[in-house]
Amino acid sequence: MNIVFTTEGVRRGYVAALPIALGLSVFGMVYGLVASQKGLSLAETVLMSAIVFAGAAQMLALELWQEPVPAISLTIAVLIINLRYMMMTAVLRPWLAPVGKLRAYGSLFFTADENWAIGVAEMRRGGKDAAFYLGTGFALWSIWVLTSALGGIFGTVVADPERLGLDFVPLAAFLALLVPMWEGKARSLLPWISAAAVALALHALLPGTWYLVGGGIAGSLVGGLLLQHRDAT
Amino acid sequence: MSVDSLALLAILGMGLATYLVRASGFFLVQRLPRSRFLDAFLHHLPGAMFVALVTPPVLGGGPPTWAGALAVISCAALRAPLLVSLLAGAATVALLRQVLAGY
Repeated sequence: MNIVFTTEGVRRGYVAALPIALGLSVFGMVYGLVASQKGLSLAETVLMSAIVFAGAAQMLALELWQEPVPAISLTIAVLIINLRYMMMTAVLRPWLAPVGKLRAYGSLFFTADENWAIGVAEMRRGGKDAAFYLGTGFALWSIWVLTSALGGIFGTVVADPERLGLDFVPLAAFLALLVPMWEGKARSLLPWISAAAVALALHALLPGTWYLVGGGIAGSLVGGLLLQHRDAT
Repeated sequence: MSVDSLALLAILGMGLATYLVRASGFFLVQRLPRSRFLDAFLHHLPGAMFVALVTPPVLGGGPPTWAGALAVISCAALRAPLLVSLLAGAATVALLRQVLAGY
């Protein structure tokens, strides 16, 4: 397979991902709005979107944001909530391994759930231009940064987001992303129940986000053990 | 347009952590011996993480949150676009907060 990396690939990827990027623009505006409600300046709001570029993680950061800013806890929490990117980028090996380190590790910055899905679909269809992935990521990044700014600007004029149920949106996003991950009772039930039980217990017992770490590890361990059990029987 | 130094530190930390996670998956897959257990562990991690994240706030949230969660899960199960699910959830929560004063 001859993998190439062209500006035409970037353009095609950008165009392919633009509709989904625009679909996420309300999410971006809600992020900007919540950020301004939490007391972040417009510069901080936009900077976080440009540098972190991870919607769910940024929403989590806003949930945990307080004065003084708990920088270390936020970094750890964001690292943990983004661990899924680790296995997602592992899947991109056939495209990124042949194009050289700079292009590969540059493209990897632009990894979000939606553009990864589009990029992997193109790769599995036999697409040869790895720059397509960079284009899809840049589409999401540009719309995300732009709408974060818009949300931050208009956030100060929206008086009461709770009356509109807007404070529920981050939690809703996690729920909506979780539902398609269900793979049936045999595969998902025990891992999910373990994750929920450990998370509830740690949430009651420990401060901070340890319930995320514990719940995530417990569910994944049970998932791994289930596989070994299936292999053994 | 001010940036608090602690806020800047937090943003840079979160950015670096996120990038390292993004880069490490690709980095490691080229070097690690494959094992089925590791594959299964990583496969289950996102779902477990999200369950851990939503369970405490949903269960502790009160009737509007429960109804909103049900609306979002129903929409997502019917494969509605993300945006539709979010709007349905927010609208349900807003409506029930009007009806059930005090939440």
